[in-house]
Amino acid sequence: MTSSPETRASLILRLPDAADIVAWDEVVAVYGPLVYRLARRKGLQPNDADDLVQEVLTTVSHSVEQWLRRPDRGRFRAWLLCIARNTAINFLTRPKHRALSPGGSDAANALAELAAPDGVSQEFEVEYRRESFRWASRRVRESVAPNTWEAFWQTTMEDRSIAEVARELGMSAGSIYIARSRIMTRLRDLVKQLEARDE
Amino acid sequence: MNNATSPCSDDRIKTLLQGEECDEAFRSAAKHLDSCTTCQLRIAELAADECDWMGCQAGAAVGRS
Repeated sequence: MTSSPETRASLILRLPDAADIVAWDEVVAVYGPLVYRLARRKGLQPNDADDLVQEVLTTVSHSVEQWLRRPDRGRFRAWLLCIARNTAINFLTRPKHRALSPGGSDAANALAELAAPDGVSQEFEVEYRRESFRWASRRVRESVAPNTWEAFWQTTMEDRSIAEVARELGMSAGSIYIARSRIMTRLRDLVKQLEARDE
Repeated sequence: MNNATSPCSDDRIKTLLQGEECDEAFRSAAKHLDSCTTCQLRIAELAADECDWMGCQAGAAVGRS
């Protein structure tokens, strides 16, 4: 069952409690892949990207209480991006990564990109929106019948005709319209809840 | 279309988005939807705006990669 927007909004406030598994599981599920993909795009190898995610989440766990006390704290994901960026720069300047590129390496290129915060911020925002969709999709998919999800996926994502999918799934055209619209409503509501949590 | 007694009223379509599938009102509206092009378009509009539908497709394209 999906929790209310109020409950979801308070999840960030619960993060100082390291024993709050529900709150931390959600943060790891949404923001872990986000940081990982950004790290991979900047050229980090999978193992290094995993390490970076761990370092970022560890820093969040150590600092979130202090951050929450700041009156000017802004959005959680903006703060997380700041931590990810600083951690990545720190990561890439370690001897292990510097050695990757004599005379202008991948690591050096990644560092140069990270030094341009506007570009990184835009990438992070795009990734955030994609991850929001993935997170909401997983939730909705788990909560509906396989045919209902398939009706939505085939007609919305695969752009197939309602009539064709209805025949294939043995459903009426009306049922397909209902299924895809109900799922879309739930996806939209979940993404909005996630946004509200981040304010 | 927004006359509550019309088979194409928004209230009836909202029943399809939010109502219980076992309710008689839901089943009646669902049957009407099978053949009403106006309601087929309207239910998508009431579910989400065009940006949401398109944004959803963009997110899925990346989700498959």
